Amino acid sequence: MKNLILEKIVTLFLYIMVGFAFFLLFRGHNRPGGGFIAGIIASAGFLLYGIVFGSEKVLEKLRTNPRYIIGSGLLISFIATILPMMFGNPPLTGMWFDVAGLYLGSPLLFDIGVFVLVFGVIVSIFTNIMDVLKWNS
Amino acid sequence: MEQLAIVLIGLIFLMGLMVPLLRPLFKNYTGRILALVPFALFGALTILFFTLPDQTSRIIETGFGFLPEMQFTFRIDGVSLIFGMMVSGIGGLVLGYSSFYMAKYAGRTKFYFFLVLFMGAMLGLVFADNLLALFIFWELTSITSFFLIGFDHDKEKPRQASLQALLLTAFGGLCLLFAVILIGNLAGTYSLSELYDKGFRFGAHSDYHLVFLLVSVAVATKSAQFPFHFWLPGAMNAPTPISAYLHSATMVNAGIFLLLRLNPVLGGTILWKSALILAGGITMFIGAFFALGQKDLKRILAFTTISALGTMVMLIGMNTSASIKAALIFFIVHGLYKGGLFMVAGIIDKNTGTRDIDKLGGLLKTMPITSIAGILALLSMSGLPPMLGFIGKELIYDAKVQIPELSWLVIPLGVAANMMMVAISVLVFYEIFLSRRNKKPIALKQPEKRLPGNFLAGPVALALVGLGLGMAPGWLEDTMANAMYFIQSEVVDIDLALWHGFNQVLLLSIFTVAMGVLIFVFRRPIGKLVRIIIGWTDQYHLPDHFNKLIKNYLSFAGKHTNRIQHGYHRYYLMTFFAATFVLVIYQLFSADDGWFPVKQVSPLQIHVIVVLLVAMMGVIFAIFTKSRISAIISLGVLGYGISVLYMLYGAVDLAITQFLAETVIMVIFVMVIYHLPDFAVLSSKKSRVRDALIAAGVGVMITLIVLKARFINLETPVSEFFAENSFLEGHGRNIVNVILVDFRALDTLGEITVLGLAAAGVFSLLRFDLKDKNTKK
Repeated sequence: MKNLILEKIVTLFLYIMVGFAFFLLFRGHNRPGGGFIAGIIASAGFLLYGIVFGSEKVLEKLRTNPRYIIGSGLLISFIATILPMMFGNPPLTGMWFDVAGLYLGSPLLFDIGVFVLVFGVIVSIFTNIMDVLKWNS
Repeated sequence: MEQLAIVLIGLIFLMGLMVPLLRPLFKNYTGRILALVPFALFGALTILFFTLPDQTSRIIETGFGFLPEMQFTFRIDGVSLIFGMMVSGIGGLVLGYSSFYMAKYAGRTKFYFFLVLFMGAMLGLVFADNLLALFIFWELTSITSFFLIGFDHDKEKPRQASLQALLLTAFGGLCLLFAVILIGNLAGTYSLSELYDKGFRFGAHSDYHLVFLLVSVAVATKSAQFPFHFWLPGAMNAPTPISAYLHSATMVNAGIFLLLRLNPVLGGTILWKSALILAGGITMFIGAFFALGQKDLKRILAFTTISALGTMVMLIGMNTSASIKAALIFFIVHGLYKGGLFMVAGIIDKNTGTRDIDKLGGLLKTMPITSIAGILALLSMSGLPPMLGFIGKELIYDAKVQIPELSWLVIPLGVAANMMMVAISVLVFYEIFLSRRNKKPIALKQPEKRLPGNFLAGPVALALVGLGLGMAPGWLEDTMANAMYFIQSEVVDIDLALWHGFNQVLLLSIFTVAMGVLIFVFRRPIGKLVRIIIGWTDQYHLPDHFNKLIKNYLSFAGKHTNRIQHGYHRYYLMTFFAATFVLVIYQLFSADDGWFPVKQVSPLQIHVIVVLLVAMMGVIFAIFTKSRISAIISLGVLGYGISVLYMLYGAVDLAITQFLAETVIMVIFVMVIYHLPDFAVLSSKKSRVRDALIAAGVGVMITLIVLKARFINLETPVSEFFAENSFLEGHGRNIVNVILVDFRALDTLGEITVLGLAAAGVFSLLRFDLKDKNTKK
């Protein structure tokens, strides 16, 4: 059964959630937030979207398989782990660049990796469950 | 030059790894081009061979290693030069030889890959100075040889043979590891050169027996000594180039090499002498004896290898300078003739299609070059002049005569084994190269002239080297003297010559040859007798027993694994919780300050009590409700209650995470619950009481732990460090997040890896139906 209003709201909600997730991700270093929380929030947006549209639409929206998202998240964090080693520091040493008073560094990269991975894990789990249940398809 | 040699060994490894890339480039020339590296190494080693001064060794540090104790340092001395030259020289010939032999096989990339890696591992083993590095190369040879022996993996026999070889040699490798660690601990160093320099001797140490036992098991499994000899005949299931290489200079000789290397450290005791002489003597005898009863050319050669290995072990066991000298010469002799003979067997097999000595015949006329190479090798094997084999055998007899206390045992055994070797040589010579009577003429696939040069070069070169060294053994003297210095730690003058004058040893030789010919003349009745005895011993056929042992072990392990891994989730949980409960409670009880902390509990505020009560009511409701969905929702109440608690105590990040996780879990739960069968009480009352007890116990335990953890006072709480440095070092005001992504990022890395694995687990659990569609099973 199609419900136009619900579909519109959920789509809008998806973008709000993803945007909010990015906001939390980047402010996480100074105030509540961070990769883990952002990952759950972004995936919650997709979860609602999936409940209304079914898992195939979620995958369509993502344009890729969640498995690859998990992998890239792990890869990003891993790069942040070994990046300091290239400069002769122990792994996971924080490296900071002062960009006009804003500190950007390898921990942020690490956090982005956490975000991508958590997002991928949750999306992968619920799309799999939906597929098995043949949810909305 | 030394550095160059080590670099070339590294290059061999590199070439091995790059075979998959090189083969499309060089196509059918791969074998010949790969052979260039070992030949270059052989050249470098030859220069060293003639220039290495007496009583010196060269140590090359690569500065590369896994641990301070485990550095890849290499040593070049007489022993490693002799072994290294055999390994690289025969290795190059084998590579060139396989270029044609393997031309029609599938999976040649794999073949060259493992063969070259095996060569590199063997060279590393021979040149290693660090005992741990030696062990690593030792294991590498076991693993690569497993793939080489089982090259025809679509057939049952090679698979079994390679598994057997792997299990045995890997078992030996494990023993070697223990032995190496023991030696390292007792001596305080893993470096061979330090062990030599300090003159470390274990003989009188109380742990000597253990070390010796471990080393001898390693040697016996690798070098196919009785009672572990049975894997070697099976290993001839490999393609012939592999057999030629494994049997002649590598793999099985690794054990011999280890004995020579450790001789200054472990050798010379009564135990060393008696055990090695006994094992070697038995192996020498039964190897030759079983060889007499075989019909397959490769099988004959495989059993003579066992005999030769036994001879070497026995000689090393005697531990006199004469015997070590004989062992070294015999290693060269054996490598040369066995490599040559296996290659000849391969050529004959390739060109006639059979290896049965009853079917072959008259090859001297049709394949003269192969035959002459083969005959020279056979001469060396039977110890006849002018081959190097003659010198080897004279030295062996000399060594045996020189130890009067044991000569009553070793001379008869040795003469008997040598008689049989002579008989086998004559038999092979007669049946394959001469006799044409009573046999159908054998058809050649192509005339010998059409065979490529690199195919014939192997046996011819080895035969010529054997002949040349027999004529001019003086070339070996300097390096032999150097090797003897590092094996026996004494200066020995070496004087090798073909003709030693008319003495006791020569008489023994003549007697041996005469008896060998006599056995050949009566080969029919003797062959029958031998086969009867073999048939009788076949009921104690060791490979079968070994297989049975492995099978029983597997079924035993399977049974017990099934008992522990029963597959019932609830029992896993129950075992886990009960065990944790018992252990933790025991620990808490035995602590000094009592198990129930009462001090310093801050009074609870009223709103916290309200939240706690709500959460607890949620739990109680979840236990007694009859509907699944209300159970889940009331569990959600508990989760939200906990996040409110976090909030009240100021842990905002935790609270947010808890809220979000709880929400997502609830949504997914509700989605799934719809499809579950009706809620029903299936468990008996008894089991519910048991579960309740376990649950309550675990709850109490966790509460106690948390309370107790609260009162552990560290010198300086780590939280202060985090609070102070979060902004200064981590550039963040949110301490929790800085801890997560900076201070304790390694933990986070571990956790997200676990998360990723969990997702993979969910995927494979839910999608087990995909397996049926995609893969046929």
